[in-house]
Amino acid sequence: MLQTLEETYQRRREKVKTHKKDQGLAMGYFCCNVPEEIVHAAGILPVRILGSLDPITEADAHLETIVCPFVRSCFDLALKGEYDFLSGIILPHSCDSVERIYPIWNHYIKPRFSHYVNLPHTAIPSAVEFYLSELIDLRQDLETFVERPISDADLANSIRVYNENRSLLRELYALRKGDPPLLSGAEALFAALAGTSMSKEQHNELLRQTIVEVQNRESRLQGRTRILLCGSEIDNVEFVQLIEDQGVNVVADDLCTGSRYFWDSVDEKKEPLAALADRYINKIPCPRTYPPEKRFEHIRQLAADYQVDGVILHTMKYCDPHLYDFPILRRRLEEAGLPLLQLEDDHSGAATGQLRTRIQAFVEMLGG
Amino acid sequence: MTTAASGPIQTTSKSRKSLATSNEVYGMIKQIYRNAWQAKEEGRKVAWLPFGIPLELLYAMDVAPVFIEQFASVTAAKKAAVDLCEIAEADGYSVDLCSYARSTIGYAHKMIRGEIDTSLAGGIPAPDLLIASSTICDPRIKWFEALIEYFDIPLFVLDVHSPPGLGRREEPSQRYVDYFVSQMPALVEFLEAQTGKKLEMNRLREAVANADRAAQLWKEVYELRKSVPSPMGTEDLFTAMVPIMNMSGTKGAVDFYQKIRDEVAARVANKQGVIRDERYRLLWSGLPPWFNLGLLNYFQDAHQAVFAIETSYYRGNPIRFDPEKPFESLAREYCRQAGGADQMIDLCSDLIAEYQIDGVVMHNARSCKAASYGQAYAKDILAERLGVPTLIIESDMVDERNYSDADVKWRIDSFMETVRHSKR
Repeated sequence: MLQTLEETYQRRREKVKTHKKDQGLAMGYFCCNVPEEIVHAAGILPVRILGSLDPITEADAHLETIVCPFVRSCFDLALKGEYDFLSGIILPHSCDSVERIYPIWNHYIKPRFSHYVNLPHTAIPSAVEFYLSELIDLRQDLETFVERPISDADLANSIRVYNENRSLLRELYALRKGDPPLLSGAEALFAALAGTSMSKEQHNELLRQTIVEVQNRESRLQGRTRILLCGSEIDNVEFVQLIEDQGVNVVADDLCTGSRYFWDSVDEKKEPLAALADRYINKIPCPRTYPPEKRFEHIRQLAADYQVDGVILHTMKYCDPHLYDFPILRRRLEEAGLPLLQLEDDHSGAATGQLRTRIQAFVEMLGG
Repeated sequence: MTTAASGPIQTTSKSRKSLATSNEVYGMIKQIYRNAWQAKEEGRKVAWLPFGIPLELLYAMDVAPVFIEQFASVTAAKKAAVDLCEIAEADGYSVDLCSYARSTIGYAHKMIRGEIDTSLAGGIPAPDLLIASSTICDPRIKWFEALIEYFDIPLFVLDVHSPPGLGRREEPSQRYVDYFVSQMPALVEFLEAQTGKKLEMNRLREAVANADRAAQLWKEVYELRKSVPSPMGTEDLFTAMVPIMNMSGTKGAVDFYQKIRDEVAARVANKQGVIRDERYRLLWSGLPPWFNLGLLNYFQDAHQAVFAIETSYYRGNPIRFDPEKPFESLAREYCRQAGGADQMIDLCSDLIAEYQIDGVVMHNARSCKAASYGQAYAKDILAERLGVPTLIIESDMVDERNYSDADVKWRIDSFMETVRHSKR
């Protein structure tokens, strides 16, 4: 089952094309701030737009140097037709790089459906209210697109499916608490990523089987230095593999493509759209949301629960939110007695030699 | 084009301006900072803020506002910015981050060690309050999160959003306005708690009335600038916009725009242009290279080209502020400030027609995603839609290390060839 998940992650766009042929619409989205449940309730498969390690050949003509390399890669794939199978995109106002690709993507890719969801930068009560008005807007737009209403019952059902997915992913991640962890960091990441290009119902089934499989297998890993990996969208599992190849276990993560995606569930007792607004505003935030303490607390908690020896911070080159956080995070972790290594990623998959050296030096310093 | 005997080539310079009133602006900046130092002496609060915080409210409550994006431009003009950026970088702030943030973080670092550079328009005092806004870009909050690591003071964050795809003549929808207004009680409460004084609504109304007067006068200037020859170039705009950006709400700003308006009107009446022989009219887009505003004069001196208009800091169609609805007025103005590339392109297209523009120059300020991300796309669309030649100059707004004079001038010369050709 783990193998199936890995395969899905590796051949994700192909997998979605197959789904589309069999079942219909697929909607691309960026980040973990888009309430996929609404898309799911409309009968559309939500597909997280991810990049690849393919060299950039088209996007450079249209994007400035300091645009996030992850966004550049996604856009490059789209320009090459790799996302033609998408019926449309939903783009949140997460960070500047994602927000500002919106008109450019619309112009060059011309998706049939295109919707921008504004996202507050704070979690005050009126922010939740404002965001709810955005979700009402999104729901209406989707209803027009699929030519049928999205009922509260549909939404409630989708929320249940997604909550189950979150719960199963948390359960899978918990298998890394032991020493040695039963699951590697690379395995955990592709297991989570695979779910973003298949239906959650399918993913839930695979996760259930995977959890049993992993619990019953002998750990292939040794007990060794335990690392918490923080950062943004790591869509390249090889990056995590490279870290683990230096003799450590990545036992936990605070990533946009990892724990921040599923750590918080939606309150099923609330009215569905309001519950979604609440959850997406109050979930573990990425650095684009103020205040940062909630995320710093999440990191501290993970470090404690997973008995972490050190933290690696992955920053995407030119990423303002994470790069502003870095000196502050470093200080907070120092106070907690946790060494931090920052690794800058230009999303090209190159410079692995340099990365290896830096990680090795860090591991040595940790006494591993 | 200097001879060997004249020593090192000056690659950056201040700008040469056309308006007499522009000469008053540096003095006004120094006065704003003097007021801030005085506030500290008198026990009043000094607030550091970025763009997107209603100055009118702060003036109404006798809080001395220091708009630190402006201060960053002063550090660049005074050639102090690179050192300050390097200090921030040594503190762990990436060289790829906004140079406004880096230079002021560097200043904060030095300030808490007792080093204040008074050559920077007298320097700015340490803040008692930080008020951040989320409008337009991510750094506006993050930069202020960084600043509170240097100053142990309260930070208030105002979350300001603009609807995507808002046309330049459109107003933000009610729910955007409502969201902004919903945060005002908390901001007022915060300021009242910090100052120990209650907000007097009549003072806010007065400030909003002043903001409206200044905005309308400034709008008249935009209309007057449509004349040929251009009575006032972009190099003057970068100075003349200072009171709107730093002093909106004050009578001083109203008086200033009255003066500017009168001076530009007189120049139009006398057909007095920026240069005597105006051959080409250009549009500037993006942030200025604050360390080298003289670059705009190069177009005049070498090519008889004037920057007749710019999209930067554009206030050509302001809303009417209603003093009876002060918070709502401020909301309506602030919630339309963040535009994406499509709005910038639409504005460019309109201005190209209204100001009879022959070519567009975009400054790709490397460390500013907000002002520069989308320029390549815009250039493409402008060529497609209007056939207007566009030059993109790469440097930065404050970090001079990104500027290469020979490279930029060569590209300007080539571009002007294209403009000459397309005008024939």
